[in-house]
Amino acid sequence: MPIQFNHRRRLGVALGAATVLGLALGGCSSATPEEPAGSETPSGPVTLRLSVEAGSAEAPVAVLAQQYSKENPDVTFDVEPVPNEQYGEVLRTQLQGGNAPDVFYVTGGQGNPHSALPLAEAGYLVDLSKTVAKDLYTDQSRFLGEFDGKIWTQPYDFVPVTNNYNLTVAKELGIDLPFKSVDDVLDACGVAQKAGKSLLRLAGSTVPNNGLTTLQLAATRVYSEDPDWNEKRLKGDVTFADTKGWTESLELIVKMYKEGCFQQGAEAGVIADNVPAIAAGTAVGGFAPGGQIGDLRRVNPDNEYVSTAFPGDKGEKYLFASPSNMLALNASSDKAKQKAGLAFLAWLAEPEHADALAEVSGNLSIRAGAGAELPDQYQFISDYFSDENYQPLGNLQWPSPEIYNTLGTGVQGLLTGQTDVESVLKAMDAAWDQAAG
Amino acid sequence: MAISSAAPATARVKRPASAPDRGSKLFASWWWAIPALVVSILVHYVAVAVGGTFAFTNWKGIGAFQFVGFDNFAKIFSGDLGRGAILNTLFLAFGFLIGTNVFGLLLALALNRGVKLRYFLRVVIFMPTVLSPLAVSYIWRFIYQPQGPLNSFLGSVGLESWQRTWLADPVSSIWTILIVMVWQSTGLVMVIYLAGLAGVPQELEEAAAIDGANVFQRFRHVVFPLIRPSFVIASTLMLIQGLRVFDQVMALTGGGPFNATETLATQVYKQTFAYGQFGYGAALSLVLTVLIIVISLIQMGLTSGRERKS
Repeated sequence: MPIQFNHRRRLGVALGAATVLGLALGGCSSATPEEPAGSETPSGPVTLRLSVEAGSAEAPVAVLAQQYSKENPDVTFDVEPVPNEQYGEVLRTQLQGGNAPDVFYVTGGQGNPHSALPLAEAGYLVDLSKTVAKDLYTDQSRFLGEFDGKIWTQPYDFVPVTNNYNLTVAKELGIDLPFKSVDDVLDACGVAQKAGKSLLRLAGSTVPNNGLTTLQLAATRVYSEDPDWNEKRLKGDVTFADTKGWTESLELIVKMYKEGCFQQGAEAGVIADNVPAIAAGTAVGGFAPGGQIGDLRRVNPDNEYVSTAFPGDKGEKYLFASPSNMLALNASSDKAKQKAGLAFLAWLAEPEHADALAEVSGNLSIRAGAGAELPDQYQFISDYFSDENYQPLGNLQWPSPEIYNTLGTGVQGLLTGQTDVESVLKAMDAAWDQAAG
Repeated sequence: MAISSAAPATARVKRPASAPDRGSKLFASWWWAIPALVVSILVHYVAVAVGGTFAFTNWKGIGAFQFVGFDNFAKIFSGDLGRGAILNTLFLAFGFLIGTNVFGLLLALALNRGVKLRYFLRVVIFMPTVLSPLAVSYIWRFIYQPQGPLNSFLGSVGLESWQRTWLADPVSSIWTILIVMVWQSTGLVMVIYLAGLAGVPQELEEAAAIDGANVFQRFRHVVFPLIRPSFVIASTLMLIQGLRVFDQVMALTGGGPFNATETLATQVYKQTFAYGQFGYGAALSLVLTVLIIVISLIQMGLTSGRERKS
């Protein structure tokens, strides 16, 4: 029988982590979530530590935090940007060491190192069930922030996963957007090739781009027909290998590769080259979150860009859009800071501020799903939202990041001929079963 | 009288210290080292030992964990990914060891004496060593791109059939990493051998030449035995560096294509920090540590044994 330890074994865990991480850690915190303080503005001056992911530009939440401080001079922020690849590790270390920020960025679900639910389970987050946060979820997306019947995080924007195009270049080539079927896409691949360009840019050496591309193809082949596919997979009713839509999605990637839809040497492509290539017009488009359009505009502001959804074989319409960017409050912070944090979250959820944040991030306002007016870049997918043909990104509900990694590396193996579709899907099933225990 | 009076004085000087004196001298000789020794034991050995225990758990970096015995090690040695990472690590380590030592020694011999521009050339060849491995790898990644300089060059000299997607080719990708590693560290090995060659008397080589020894015989029987200490240092350093390879793999291929270039170090990083499998990552670290210790000890035993023999 395995010996059970709990997280109160501060010294042992911290010392082990120090070795494993190569970092010096403090002891484990045994923070227990308490009833949230009221969301009214705190009475005295408060400085909140705000942890965000570092990027090429200032984090959208940090921009809004500055605005909040102007409106509420008693509340100031110490913003702590942490690089994406280290974010989860740093946050977990800080939480265990008892020196985590008061307000911090997390992603929904449990598929990432900085996913919210494992932190909620470990008792590090403030319960937000009695705040406005609960109103920002739909029934479909509630699982991203819910654990043990309570809401632990507040989403702050809405991230559509889209097929982005340089509209200016597409028009020059005579390519009509949006595509209505896969045949349209394949025809356009030929047109782009003849012009010495590629229709799509694929960073085939990177897991996230391969994974996101496959998921977009799977949106209409798996999830539009069966929105509860993840639930069924969790119960063991279905598998990747025995789901026709997953096989078709991977086969389509291989077909597109063979027909020259992606750039030459796509299997070695890197994400950093995608935006420059699309902005420069050597590739017409690529797969990424809608926020990529903001980057494209910064690189080449003279061109027009649009976000579309990849079509189904017969024109089916379905895409992934998730309130996956979230904020959480540290359960170990003192009451005054928790109170100030709650007030900030309440302010951020107001439609005016939610829209302002979306404008900075390039994603959609957290209110978009409720029928808010969409920016021009989303003109071709506005009906997806009004018709509710969307759901949270598939992998956010997967029990481990390793499954997504298996998909991403598997796609590269398909492009290089090192593996086959069935093997990739079976490997994903194995990773799922292992993670689910 | 003078002699008899001198004798006790000499005896007094040579007389062994009394027991308390011996103890205090012995104590004074090592107790100063206690603080450093304690810190060293705590930081290096205790921390590693405690960290090593996590290799036997399923800890995910947060919250509770369970002891799972040798499950993590079984997963490493039974799975394709774990076995592949071990084999790739060994391939890169020994390829790096051989490549750097062969090219470093040849360059050292070539630039030891005679060449007019040898000081300038030594600096040029050593220069890549001082650069960041990541920076070097990103430059090489550009060279290896499908439309990059390497394929362009091959096309320009009529070798189109040799063109390929170097970093995503299942066969060539691991060689591209090895080339970058060897290219960057050859200068360091050359300097180590140059230091050894500086101690080889020119007269010995000349005497051997007069006795009729050819270039290879002079190297084999005169020069190499004298620079063997340099060989021991260079080979040990390169082997350990090769076993730890990380930066070049992450920057060039990220472990791809389809895990074809994964090493133990890249797997430690991915499993621990990307997937939150701290227990499995700790087990991989332990395997890597044991591998480095065992191979280094064997290698040092072999080379130092030959040194004694020579």
